[in-house]
Amino acid sequence: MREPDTEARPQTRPRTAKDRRDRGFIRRLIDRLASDTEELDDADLKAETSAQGATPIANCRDREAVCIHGTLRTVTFQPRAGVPALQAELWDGTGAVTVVWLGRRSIPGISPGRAIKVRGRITALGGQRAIYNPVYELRPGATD
Amino acid sequence: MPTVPSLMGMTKRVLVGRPVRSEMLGEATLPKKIALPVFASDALSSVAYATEEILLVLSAGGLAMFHYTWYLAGGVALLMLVVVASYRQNVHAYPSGGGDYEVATTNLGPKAGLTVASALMVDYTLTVAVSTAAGVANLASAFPALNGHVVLICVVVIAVITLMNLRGVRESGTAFAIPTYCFIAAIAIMIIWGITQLVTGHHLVAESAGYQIHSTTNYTGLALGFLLLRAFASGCTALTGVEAISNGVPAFKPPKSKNAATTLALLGGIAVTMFAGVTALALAAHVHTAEDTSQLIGLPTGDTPRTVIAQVARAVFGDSSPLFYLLQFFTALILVLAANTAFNGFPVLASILSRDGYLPRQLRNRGDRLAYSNGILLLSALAIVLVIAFQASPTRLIQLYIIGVFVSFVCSQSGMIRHWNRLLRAETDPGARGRMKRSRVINSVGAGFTGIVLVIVLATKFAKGAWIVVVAMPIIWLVMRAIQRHYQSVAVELEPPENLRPSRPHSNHAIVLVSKLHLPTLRALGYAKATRPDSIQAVTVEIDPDEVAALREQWDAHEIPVPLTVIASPYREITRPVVEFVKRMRTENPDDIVTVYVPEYVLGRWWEQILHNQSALRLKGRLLYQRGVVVASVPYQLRSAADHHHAAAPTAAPPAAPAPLQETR
Repeated sequence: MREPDTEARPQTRPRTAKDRRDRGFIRRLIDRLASDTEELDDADLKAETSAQGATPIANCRDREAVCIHGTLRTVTFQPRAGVPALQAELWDGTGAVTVVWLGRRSIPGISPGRAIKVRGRITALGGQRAIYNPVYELRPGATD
Repeated sequence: MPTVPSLMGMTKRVLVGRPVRSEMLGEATLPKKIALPVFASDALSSVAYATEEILLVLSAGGLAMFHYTWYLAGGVALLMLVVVASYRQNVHAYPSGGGDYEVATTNLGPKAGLTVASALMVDYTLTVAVSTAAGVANLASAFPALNGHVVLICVVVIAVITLMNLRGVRESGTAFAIPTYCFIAAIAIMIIWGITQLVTGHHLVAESAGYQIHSTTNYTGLALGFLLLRAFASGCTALTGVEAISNGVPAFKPPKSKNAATTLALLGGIAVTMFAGVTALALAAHVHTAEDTSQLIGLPTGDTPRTVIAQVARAVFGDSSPLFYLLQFFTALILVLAANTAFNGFPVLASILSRDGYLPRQLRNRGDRLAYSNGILLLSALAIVLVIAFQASPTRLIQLYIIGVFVSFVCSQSGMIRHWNRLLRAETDPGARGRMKRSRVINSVGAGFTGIVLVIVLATKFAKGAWIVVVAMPIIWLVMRAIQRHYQSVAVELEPPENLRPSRPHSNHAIVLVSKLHLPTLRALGYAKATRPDSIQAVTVEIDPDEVAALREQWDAHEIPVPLTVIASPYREITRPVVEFVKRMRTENPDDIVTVYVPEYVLGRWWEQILHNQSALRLKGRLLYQRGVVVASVPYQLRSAADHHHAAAPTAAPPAAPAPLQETR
């Protein structure tokens, strides 16, 4: 998918500067059209992460206190018979982290597709990143 | 399970008949007197048009050319005898029914075998098209009113033959015998009657004897030679169908090879006699015909000239004698039967090719009546396309014809030479060596003759339409190679390596797809739990937040002991979010298996299916491409489906049964 940047390697392309610029523009346009909505969404999420001053999940290290901004991809409700806990998967365009609120069966506003900003300590749970009982802040989504 | 037959099923039953049990296969073997008509109708039927084709080509040079007919007919007859003699060797050496394909594959390698196969397939198709077109043309000669509808009649005739073959051709062997023998008898009577009249001093006068042929070119030297060769090539159509017997040896009563060889000899004798007789009478009666009807001076404008055999019959028997109509009828009938010979040959060849992996496997399946139904349908479709494309004109179709047959003649005869060479190296008994050497000489002569004729046919017919065949054959050849390569690569990939240790997935994660909490969902949940997976969760996609809220309420109300995961779907899709979700589960644990349980309700009627969108079906299709994912359909038969398919089993799927969650434990 990733085309080599035409601007970065001018010596391999013996063309005029104008020609190169045109190609670059067309490349960019084609890239934009060829990438699916998911990639575009991820790019938007990444932009929002840096705008909010949050840490990209991919850069988070174990046992680090972090602030993450992203959307909830899935929300899992536990059955009534089991231990009450609300579990959600937060995605910020670079990686996913499982967010767990212990003792809660549901939280108003915590629903799939919701944009959210959480603060907490990141841990590894079965090879996956997780944050337990984070401080959360519901963010306005695209539709709000 | 007794089923209520559908309308489709009933139509099929009426057209095709009751299914035949597999044990019935191989019981029907044919005695010589039945085998001759079954296999020989193709070769014999060409008597009906071979003479005509020679005359048509010669007509380009004017009436003066017609005296060459004798030599050309002699050449064709000689060639016929040579080919028959050569094939008698084939029949003895390869009695398994593989025919030319087998001979070429064994002796010249699979590429040559494939060449023969593609040639024969083209030719079988053309046999159907040419024979039907010629048969209908003869019918139209008896009843000129039919002239405007020949294409339609041809298509109908092909459809009827197809149907007969789908019903199973073996049992109709006797039905073939009568028309073939009637045709032979009718032609014999005509020849004898005609010769008697000639001997007793009467003059046979064909209706076209008075016509003049308007010829613009004067053929001399090379051009004359080329015209004669072209006429000869057209006459060679008489040779088609000889190979049919060598493909059908297993159908003969034992001793198979000997009977087949005798039948071949009979076939050769009868065909040559009939061909010579008709040609002689046509010349004696001064039948004049031309490729382009405008060249015929004297023909009433707008009329289509009758076929040569029709003109001869009218000259011999009189204009409206019942014998004339009878002969025309049998001529048309045997031409149709000749088309049927291809229906015997093509499906068998296709099944052998598909056995060897050159054609799709479906062509190997025998249908309800033990005939190779798919091969029959394929042949019929191809022939209909040809007939429509060429406006059912025998003369135009014949230009494409016989190239395939001669390619296969040449390949199989050269294969036979190699066969004898190989056997001679190992044989020491002088008597046997003598016989083999004699056979080798016969096959060499056959290979030489057919080779020369192939060159002649190619050279003279190429521009007239034969190029289509020359293009089609390599295409078929390449397609068959590609199919074979595909099957080969699949087989290699599926073959377990020798040092393989069968491994089990570490754990099994169950996902139950949920849209609403209804009986099918409950059944799927129960079933998923009953398989004792390592983890289980129900998954739903949020399209409408209110629906999800309602689902969660029901979930709690029913106290379902399974966590419910809601997937966000910002673009209102169902398939993609689920697939992505499953994919993520997979990347976490690559050695594990994810089983996706899809509750489905089964509908009984087709129009009901339209009312429900088939998201489960699409999802299944997408999940098939995921590694380590198993999709389990948990069907729930609605009452309409139960009524439809289990009319006699009312106990199946009571729709009002309580939630099966506890039941399945």
